[in-house]
Amino acid sequence: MSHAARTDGARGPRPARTAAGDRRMPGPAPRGAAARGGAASGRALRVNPIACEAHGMCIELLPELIRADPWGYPIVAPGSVPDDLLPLARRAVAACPTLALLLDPEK
Amino acid sequence: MTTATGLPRLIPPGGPLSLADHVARYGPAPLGEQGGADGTAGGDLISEVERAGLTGRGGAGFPAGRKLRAVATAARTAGPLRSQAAAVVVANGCESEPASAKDGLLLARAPHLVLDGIALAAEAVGATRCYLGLHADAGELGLRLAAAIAERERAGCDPAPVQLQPVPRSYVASQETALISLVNGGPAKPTFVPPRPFQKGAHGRPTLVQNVETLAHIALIARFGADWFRDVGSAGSGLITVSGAVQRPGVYEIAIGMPVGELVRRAGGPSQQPQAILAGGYFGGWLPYAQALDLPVSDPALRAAGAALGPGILVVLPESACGLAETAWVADYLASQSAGQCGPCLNGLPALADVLKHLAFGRADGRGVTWAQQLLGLVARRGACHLPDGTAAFVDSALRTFAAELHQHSVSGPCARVRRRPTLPAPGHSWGAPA
Repeated sequence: MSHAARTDGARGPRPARTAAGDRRMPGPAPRGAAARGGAASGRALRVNPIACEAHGMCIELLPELIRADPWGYPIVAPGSVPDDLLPLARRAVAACPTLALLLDPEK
Repeated sequence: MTTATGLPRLIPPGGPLSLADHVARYGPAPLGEQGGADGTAGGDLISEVERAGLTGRGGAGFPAGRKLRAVATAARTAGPLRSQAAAVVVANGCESEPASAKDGLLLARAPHLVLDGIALAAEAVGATRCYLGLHADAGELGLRLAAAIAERERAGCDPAPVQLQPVPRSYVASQETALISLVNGGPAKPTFVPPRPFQKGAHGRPTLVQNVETLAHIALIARFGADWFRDVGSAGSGLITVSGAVQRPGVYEIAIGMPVGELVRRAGGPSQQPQAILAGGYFGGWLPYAQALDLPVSDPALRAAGAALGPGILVVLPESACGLAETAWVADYLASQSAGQCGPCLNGLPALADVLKHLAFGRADGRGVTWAQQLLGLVARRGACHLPDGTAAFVDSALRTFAAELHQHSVSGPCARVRRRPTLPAPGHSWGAPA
């Protein structure tokens, strides 16, 4: 598979949202439900890594649970989404242009 | 027919067996005996395979009985029409692990044992179509298998037709969802799960993907029963490809649980002063030679030690090679094998290969090691398949096993051994841009 050369050196189907000078380096992982002390919804967020093209909408909309890796792809906090973040999680899922962010149905 | 220890079970001495010789040696496959009074053979093959504790021999080591039952259950319950529910069996004979030779040898020497396994598994899960995945450039082996399949069709001994499926030679092409994508007319690339193959696989049907050695074991368990299978070793017998610095590299059928040192002795002992062992192939891990010798050749024991059994691979690394350079070489190969579908793999694996080249051939400074360790965390479990996870585990084991070399390189620069050509196989691979 060949992609057009990217100015930031990362490879992928489209430029990462973050500019080369503004890469978010790996920092502390966003805290999951347990760490935040909120009630857990029992529903987890997942990324379909094939569909994800690093548009970064989810990182913008849900920084509480999702951060960017050095190439702009989302890293989702493990575990269940806290109840109070469920509306924001749904919004992030709906905003993903490639439908790559998934909220597991209730068990 | 068998030696004192009951081995070999899978690969008969002498040339490949014709269907008639095969039946004379093993007896006919107990097909069409589902529900028969005989509790061991055919009566309930899935229960028998579960009781045998047979695990998949393609690398992941998933319990074969559980997989059979999941597909059989899905096939019974899926879809309103019988035609939609009928399962599919995909036998995996691609052997994409470069250091493995056992599947090719098994298919060449005991084709009918594998084909029996396919037929028995098809009957057990209710499959109406079967595929045997083989490398597209398998050449002579492909022709021989086509002849064996034709021989069985004339004899009318199989419940479902078997079709050869040519598979491109790439590391991820024989991952189970990639095989299914290929059978469905798509590219040989992994797909996102769920749906898992047992739910919706080839032709949208419940699909059993099983390594050819696993199927050969199933063919024997169907005949001789779970107790017979468990009678040898801690988990039956298994085919192990031994290579590297040994006198007689090759495929050995052993009782699982045999100490690594004994298997190395069986392969003629070291041909040069050994320093480390790679167990499990490129999704496995490095172990210091002295530590590896007393470990049992079994997946649980090798995993506990930080490696794996994978598809049955042991490579002995001689003292004359540089473990860091070998690891950089394999990491570079694995990065080249990314299907290019998932961002963390597409970006992370080349970055990991680059930092390893830096550690092996440049300066093994602390920053390089720290960045390598961060990259391991950034790629693991973030792809659709296990390529990033396996690569991360492999590199992680190298950073542990070759810690002394890392220190040496950091003090006095790359050792003289890095100039030696890498000994680990990487088909079609050459170094990319120098680090």
